[in-house]
Amino acid sequence: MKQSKFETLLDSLQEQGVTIDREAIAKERQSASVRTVFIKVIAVLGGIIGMAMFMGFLFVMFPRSMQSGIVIGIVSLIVSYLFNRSSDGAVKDGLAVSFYISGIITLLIGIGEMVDTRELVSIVSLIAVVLAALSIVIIRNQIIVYLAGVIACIALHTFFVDQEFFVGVNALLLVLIAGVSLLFANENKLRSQSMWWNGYFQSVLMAGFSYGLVLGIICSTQRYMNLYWTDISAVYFITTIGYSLITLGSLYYLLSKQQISSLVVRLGACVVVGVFLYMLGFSYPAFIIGFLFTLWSFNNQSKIGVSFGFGTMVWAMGMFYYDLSMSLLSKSISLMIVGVLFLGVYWLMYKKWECDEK
Amino acid sequence: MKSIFDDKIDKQDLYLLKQHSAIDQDQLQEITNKESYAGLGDWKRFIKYFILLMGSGLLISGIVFFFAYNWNDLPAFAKFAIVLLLIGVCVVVSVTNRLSSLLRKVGLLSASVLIGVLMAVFGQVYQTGANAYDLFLSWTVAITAWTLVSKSSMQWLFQIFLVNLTIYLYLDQVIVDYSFFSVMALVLVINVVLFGLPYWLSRYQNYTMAEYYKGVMALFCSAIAVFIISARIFVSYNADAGELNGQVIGILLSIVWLVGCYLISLKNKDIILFSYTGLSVATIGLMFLIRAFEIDGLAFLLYAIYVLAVTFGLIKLIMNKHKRWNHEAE
Repeated sequence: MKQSKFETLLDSLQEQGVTIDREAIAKERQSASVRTVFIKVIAVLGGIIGMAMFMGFLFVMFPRSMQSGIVIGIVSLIVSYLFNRSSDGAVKDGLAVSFYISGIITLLIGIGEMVDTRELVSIVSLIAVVLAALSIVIIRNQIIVYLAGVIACIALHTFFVDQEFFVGVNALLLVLIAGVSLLFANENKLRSQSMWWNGYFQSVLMAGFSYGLVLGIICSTQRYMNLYWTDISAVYFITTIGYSLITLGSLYYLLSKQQISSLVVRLGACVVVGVFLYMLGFSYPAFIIGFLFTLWSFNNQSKIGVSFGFGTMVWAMGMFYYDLSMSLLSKSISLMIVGVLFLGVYWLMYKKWECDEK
Repeated sequence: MKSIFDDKIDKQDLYLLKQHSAIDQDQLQEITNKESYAGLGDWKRFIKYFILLMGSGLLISGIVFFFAYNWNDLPAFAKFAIVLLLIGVCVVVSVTNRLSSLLRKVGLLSASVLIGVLMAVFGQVYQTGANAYDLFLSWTVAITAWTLVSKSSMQWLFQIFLVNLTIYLYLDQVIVDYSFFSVMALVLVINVVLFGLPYWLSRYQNYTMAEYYKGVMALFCSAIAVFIISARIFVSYNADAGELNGQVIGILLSIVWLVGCYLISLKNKDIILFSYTGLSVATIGLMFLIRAFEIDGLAFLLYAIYVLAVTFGLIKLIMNKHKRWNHEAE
């Protein structure tokens, strides 16, 4: 049987004198290969349906009140914590996650019943952020860490919208893009240095990544609450400078990492990305976020990331067509100019590489 | 053509190595950078396709937007010419042997989609007043020959999607009053036949269908089977004869499909088919339970216990089977 690249690497390391417990590695790889995504999906879906039924039972049997909501919520979170200590992967993924979701929802509903002010939504949102942060620290489960990350983003987003503080939504988007780019750039360092990061890196990254894409689309289109186009002109400049710094900085990092010193390649990349930002990215951030995340995902060899990045750009194009903030003619001219520029850079780079190869 | 994602070592394996070896941190980082991240060669390959795709995608979108801007002022001839030109380009791409197999398949799929656009433009220009089902029927028939020779899973899935949409629109717009069980039985048979057809053709045309095709179609057929059985569970036994027409055939065909799926999964050691069968049986069990007990507090508790027990029982069953089949394969 053909030996895998990993097995060959292990052989070569052992020859260099590195002690390796191959049996333990083989056992963990076998266990991971059986716990497929399909199994995790069944576990989580089954757990959630089961918990929804159980919540139905509780709400029918006991009248809805502040006390019952808070008590059931806290008990569910404790049960989730206890299930998460189980060594069985399916129980961890299914029951701990479903109890966690039910716990958070019922606890927030209970607190919502207790707070009787106009600031209800904002207060509950801030409590949700705190709960999410606590659960990341306390309940160590990959799916729960991912969910907590998304819950924190949704809660912050809701808080800013409820307070009509739309600058905050733009700032959140910038922080998410910068954070995800930094995580991509430092993956190797973080995962090889810390056990916590090794276990939960993907969860934290995917939470920021997925909400970054969603928020990018929300902020791009005028269909959803007109969030991006706030009255404060400073926001436009802050986000413009922010996107430029993050995108061009990422490009510089990726080119430097591959030790690409060719002036044609560097200049071509900067010009095309600069024009892309100016013509499309600033007015429609979903394009630039999709573009940026596709590049980072490829660098880190994440097929899912590349697919989602591309998918976002395609989706953004569909939304862009129907957006009424620009005329079809100006959209068409912007797209054609950037398209021709990309093709021109492709031709230049391809020629340069062909020359180098000869 | 080399894949954009070259064969790399999974990062997770390298971090496992860290946990179970005496390898030092710097060496691990160096190995991970070299073996699990994109190198210069990967980047060159990726940029070549990425920039080309971005450039052509944005340019084509710009052209489409431009025509959309002027669409109402274009003469009928120009409208047809634009769509026909695009179809021509896609067809040429799909039959150019120099291009990669994936690109040719995408070309054929795009041409198939554009056939529908051509028919929609025809309806718009001449105001035919036809039902939506007429358009989808003509579209389905028009691309059938391409699908039969396509050797492409994407194309087959698109064709099956069109067939189902046509059936749905025909029932909704033309028949209206129909026997539910007879129609669902027919839909199940059509989908099972369409599911198997490309596999049968592959014997003569020498190609392999993608795994995702099997996954999507087996799930869809199982969902239809479960839907038929569940519908029968909830339809009153006192319902009139017209409503129950075809119920025996529908239920029998559904059972035959589920049992067939199970037997094939055992024969081919196919964990996906095995899991779908398990899920289908579990769902039917839940439907029986919901039908048997009136919805109240205790019934909710019973459903919750059933769902949790069956879910985790099923997961154990699937994982054990998977482990055993993996072990046998080694």
